[in-house]
Amino acid sequence: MMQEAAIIQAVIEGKNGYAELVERYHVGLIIHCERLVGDRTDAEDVAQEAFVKAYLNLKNYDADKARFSTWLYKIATNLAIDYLRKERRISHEADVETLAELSMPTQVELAERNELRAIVAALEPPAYKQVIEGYYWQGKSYQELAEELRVPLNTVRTWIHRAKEQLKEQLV
Amino acid sequence: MKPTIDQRLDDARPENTRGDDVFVARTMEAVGRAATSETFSKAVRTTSTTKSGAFRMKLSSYKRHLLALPRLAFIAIILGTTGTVGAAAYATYQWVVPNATVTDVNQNNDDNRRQYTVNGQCGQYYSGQDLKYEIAQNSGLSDDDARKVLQNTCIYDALGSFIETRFVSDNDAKSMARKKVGDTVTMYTHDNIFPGNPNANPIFGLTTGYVTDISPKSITITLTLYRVDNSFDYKSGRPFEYYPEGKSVSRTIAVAPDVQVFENGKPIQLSDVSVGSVVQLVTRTQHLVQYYQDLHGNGLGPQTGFAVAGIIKTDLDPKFVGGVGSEIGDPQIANAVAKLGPCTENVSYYCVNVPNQILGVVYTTADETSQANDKYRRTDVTNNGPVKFHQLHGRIKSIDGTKVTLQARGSTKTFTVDLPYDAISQYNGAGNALKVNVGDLMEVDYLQTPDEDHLKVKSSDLIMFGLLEQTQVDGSVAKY
Repeated sequence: MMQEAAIIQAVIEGKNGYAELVERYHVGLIIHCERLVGDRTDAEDVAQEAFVKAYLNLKNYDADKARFSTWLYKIATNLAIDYLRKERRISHEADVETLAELSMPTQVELAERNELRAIVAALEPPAYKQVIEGYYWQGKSYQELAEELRVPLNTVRTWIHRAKEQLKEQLV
Repeated sequence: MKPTIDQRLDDARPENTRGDDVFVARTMEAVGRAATSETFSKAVRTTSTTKSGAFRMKLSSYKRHLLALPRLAFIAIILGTTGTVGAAAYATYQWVVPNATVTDVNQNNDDNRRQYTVNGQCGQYYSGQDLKYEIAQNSGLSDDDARKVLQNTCIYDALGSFIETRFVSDNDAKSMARKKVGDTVTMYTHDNIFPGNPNANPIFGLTTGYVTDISPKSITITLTLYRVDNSFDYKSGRPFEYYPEGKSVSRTIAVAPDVQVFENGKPIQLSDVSVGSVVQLVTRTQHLVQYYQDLHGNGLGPQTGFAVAGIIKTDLDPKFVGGVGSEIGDPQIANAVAKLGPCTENVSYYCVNVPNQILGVVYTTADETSQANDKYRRTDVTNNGPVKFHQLHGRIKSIDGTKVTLQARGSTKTFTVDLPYDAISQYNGAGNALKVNVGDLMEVDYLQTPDEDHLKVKSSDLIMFGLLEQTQVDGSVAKY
């Protein structure tokens, strides 16, 4: 897999490769936007717009100042704030920015990352594993998971909540 | 700061895990168009109605949008904004074009506004029932203007409802989801020009202007842009700047062989449209060819067959056409008309479909937001359980710290609302252009069970508390 910096440089030079960045970051970015705008469909619109804007402004990206993912998420956060403002759904941008900080991309040690993956793989009941992997890693919405697992939407919501509680307990 | 579990899960996503391929493909399509598009805005407005059911998802995700739904739907079919609607088993599209007329004018309703009753050929569901609208204060609209705006509103609502109810499907998303990276997908919409097994969503648009040239094969119109997108300025953090432009542009579009033409709700011939006529053009992309996106960035194929599928001849000045999110139509006029309807779960009182400025008391539908209250979570879990979403519009009678009393619209009943904190004082002191005072119209969204006292809204019931507002011609907002 190409290094991120090489992909970015290639895209700036007019070569292909941006799809790999979209593939790499879209799942987390949609979830990030969903937290901010409160609606999956709107979140996908905002995330898509963020990818397009990042592409158009890639020459301005400074790898010395921030990772690409951080820069991308900040573009999305600004778009989400703008969207919420247009929808008249916020009066305090600071609240949204605070919320955004909770899902900005982070990097942990490889060992910790592997530990989390192992815990997810061992989640019980297995449906918890399915919803966590589906939502956080495969980019499925709650609605899609509900249809796939043939359970009510709120059951998916509850399973994800409980699965995350399990993860928190086991990560302590 | 210790990473949250969401951040940890995001970080731990395995590199070889397939994500939402439809989203990736759609995004790369938008990227490709943005790279070649003369205006970025047109490229990014491929809304996620491609993953259809969007209208229904919006409805279920946040019921506050219930009354605004027709407008939201129409954002997808206004000029420059394309939404896709699913193919259905119809050989040809039978447009629903109402002939809406105002049957009654009340010059001074219970809230001192001009109120209009429109006949049954209007509305989101085109139900045959009369609908009531009122005109925002200080709108400057004459009765005649208001009638024209209402006529246009009815056309928009009915057409959007028609598209939404008959054509939205998941066919395209499912078709794409079945494919593997590197596969080629040819997507057909169902119509009688490009017959085939339909698996994609035709794309619709709506634009309005004066006819300057017309033939059986093409039509040229001039139109005035009222809102134009500036180029993106990331540093300012303001990607779109809308402003009244008044710029005149000309557009030529092919006319589909099966074009349907209407005037006053009745079919007419294409030859009845002539230079100088005002027309609303319903356009569609009939044949969509998409090459499945692979990880090396091979682009999607072109959409073809863009053509006018329907023409609505009208006597409206194009400035009366448009609405929220539109770049055509005078924004102040477009936002001056508000539909009156029963408030959700408070059907004895009136609510209007106007935007509101939230005063900071808001509990979003986002999962696990720190502001989510216990009631909302209960609703979340029980879904159709006893807790119901309630909406109320009322005029402030008194403000006493966190306690606010409102007189419901269409009633003498008084509600008391307990705010979780002194939201009005904080809002008024936060430098906002508008200040909330006694006499202002507010919206309250809250959750209660049927056995609770609906005249008393506790702070733990609240979802949102906002000031009703209207858009001005310069894009600023004023109290409604």
